[in-house]
Amino acid sequence: MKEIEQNIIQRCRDGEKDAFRVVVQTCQRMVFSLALKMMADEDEAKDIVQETFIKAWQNIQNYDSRHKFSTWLYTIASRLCLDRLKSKKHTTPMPEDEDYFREYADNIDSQRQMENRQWVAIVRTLVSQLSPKQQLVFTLVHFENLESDEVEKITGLDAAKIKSNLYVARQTIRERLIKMGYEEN
Amino acid sequence: MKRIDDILDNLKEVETAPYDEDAMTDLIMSRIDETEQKPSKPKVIRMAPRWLIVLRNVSSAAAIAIICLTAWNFTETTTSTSNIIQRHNYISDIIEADNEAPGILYAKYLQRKESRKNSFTQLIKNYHENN
Repeated sequence: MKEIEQNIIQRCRDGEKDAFRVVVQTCQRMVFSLALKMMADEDEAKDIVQETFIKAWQNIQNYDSRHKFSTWLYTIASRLCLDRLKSKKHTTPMPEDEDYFREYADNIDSQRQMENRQWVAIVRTLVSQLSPKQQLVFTLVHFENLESDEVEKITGLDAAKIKSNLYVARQTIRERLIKMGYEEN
Repeated sequence: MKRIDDILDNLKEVETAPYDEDAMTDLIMSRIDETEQKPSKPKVIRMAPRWLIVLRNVSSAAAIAIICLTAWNFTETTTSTSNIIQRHNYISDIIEADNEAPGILYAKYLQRKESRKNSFTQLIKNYHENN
């Protein structure tokens, strides 16, 4: 993601809304991408985008310019996602999601040909069954491809906790894939 | 066939759902304007004593009534307690002075309180006459 220049941040701190409009235009895709993966719901993801930027505007004075602005935005968005996920009841995947995967799992040729986007769709379905914290760590590491120090800053978890959450998340997904019929060489 | 670890390590970002960036930007900016126009909610005094929180939720007339009733009740209680102590001290003094049975002296005290027409000496005299 393109980083926001410091002079734009300073103008936002001075209350210039035109400068903040630039921030919104530049960063909203990134926030939407994270929110969509976390919430697995387009409307909820859009709500998260709005809430994130409103909070960012209200708290722009608290932003520490020693860190990346995108990390700060990710932090706000992640907390909003976690709060929403915690308040939601645990969801189970729709039966058709599993059927969709079984079709591929039963056919060795289709497993070989399965495209990345289909794998992403399957894994995202499985990720939505993890705990909110595991979901967040997995999304930041595997879908957003963030560095571990950035994940630490965003989640507020130390390296050991991130590692354990990620391990449990991967194991859970692995077990579910095998249970659904996927076989490893 | 791919190993699961390979799959998980190579999940590339996929295209997101249809998303109108300009419309979202306008929406966010208008919501920010709205938030700034709204007066902020009064802050709740979390550490306030319970009675104060109760008072915040009743009308001012009811609040004044509660304060008056509490003050009146407090005064009454204090006065009564003070009277009892005074009474007790007074009886104790009489017991010490006359070395008489407490019940009798208390009767004398009540008598004295009711009417100051008869002097204490007269009471003692009456007592001796009656016994």
